[in-house]
Amino acid sequence: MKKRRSRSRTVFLPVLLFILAGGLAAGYLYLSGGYRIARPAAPEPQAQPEDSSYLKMYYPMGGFLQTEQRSVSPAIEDRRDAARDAINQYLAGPEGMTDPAIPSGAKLRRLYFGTNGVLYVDLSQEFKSNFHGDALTEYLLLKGFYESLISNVQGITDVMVLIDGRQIESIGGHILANRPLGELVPPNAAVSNAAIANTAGNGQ
Amino acid sequence: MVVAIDPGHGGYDEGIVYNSPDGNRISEKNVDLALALAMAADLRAGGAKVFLLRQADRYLGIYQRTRIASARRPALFLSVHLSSTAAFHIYVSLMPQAPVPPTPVPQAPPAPAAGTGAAATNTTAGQTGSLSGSSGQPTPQQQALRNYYQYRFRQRPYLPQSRDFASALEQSVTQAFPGKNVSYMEIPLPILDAMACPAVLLECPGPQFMDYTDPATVSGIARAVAGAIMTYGKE
Repeated sequence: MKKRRSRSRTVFLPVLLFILAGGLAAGYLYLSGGYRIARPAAPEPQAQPEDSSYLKMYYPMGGFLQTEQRSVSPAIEDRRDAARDAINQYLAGPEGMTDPAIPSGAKLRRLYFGTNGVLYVDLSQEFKSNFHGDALTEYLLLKGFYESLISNVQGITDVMVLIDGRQIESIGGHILANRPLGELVPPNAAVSNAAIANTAGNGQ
Repeated sequence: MVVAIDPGHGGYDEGIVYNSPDGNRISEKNVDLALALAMAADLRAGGAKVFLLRQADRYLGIYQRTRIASARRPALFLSVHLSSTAAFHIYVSLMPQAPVPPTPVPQAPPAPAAGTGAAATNTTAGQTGSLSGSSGQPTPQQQALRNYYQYRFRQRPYLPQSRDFASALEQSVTQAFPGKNVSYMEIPLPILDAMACPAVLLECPGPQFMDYTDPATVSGIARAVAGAIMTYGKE
């Protein structure tokens, strides 16, 4: 009986020592950074700066209007700020833009709030001269501009584009731009999704 | 059958511009004109009467185009452009679903003496009143407004026929270029809105996707389009 107990002790002690040694080694490695368990990264809580605001933007991309939320700082205080920020964000284009539907180099010159609820946006010549797209791209360029302003600027009912202070007939020769955009890119003018989907994956 | 063909862009308005790897600068305005001329030749050979809105490299605005085309009362209108993609795009006008809003009529100036015609010449079909300024001559803004409302909704009764024409065009182009996608879209396009006849805007693949320096490309597209027009005309 004694012999049997001493044999189980001789087996149990090395196993216990081995487990202890392993635990100590793992603890050391974990604390020293030499070993990390792969875990899905927990989403970092987004700090929302108090001096910033959000804008909902509509960008023409690949035959569609894509929405993006943009943070602007300092915070928007009035509708003039909102209009200026929305226009500048629109002209900057969407994140990681690969399809340059928005003409490069275009700048905001002036803004006017008409008494009739129309926001007059005076853009630099580049908005016209650097546009080289097709009919759908031009339509989405103007529709995205209109939607981005109507969504973010309170108290306006329509948007009118001027180039270098002047009314122009068209940006790219397909769509009129000499009237407030609400009439020219009306909300019921839904482009056929099937057609666009067909176009988006165009192959040779 | 009188067919109006509108080669897109022209003059300082180049349309899509593509700088090819071999150093060629291809402007859409030139390709549009080459395609339109080839289509016109094929159609004339088939017995159709054709007129082109421009036959040289010159600028025409949208209103100028609508005026020129409307004056000839075409049976069919085709505007020729290039797309930014590898696909053919066929567009038909999208008219507003809501009832047409009443045309705003600016304050009428004092009635002119009979025969001077200031009010009469400035009154558009279906409208009343005058859009001229106090001097009898319309200001540029009034002229733009008049142009806009004069032509805005003329396409409405012809939409079913325009869709049939687009369908014929789609079939013909698909047969001629089986490797290319052909899409159909309806968006508000003023050049089509203004046409009092079946009207379609065709965009051929962009110059980065199709070699327009090859005469076979131009003649192939022209043949497909002319075939569709002749088939539609017979039907």
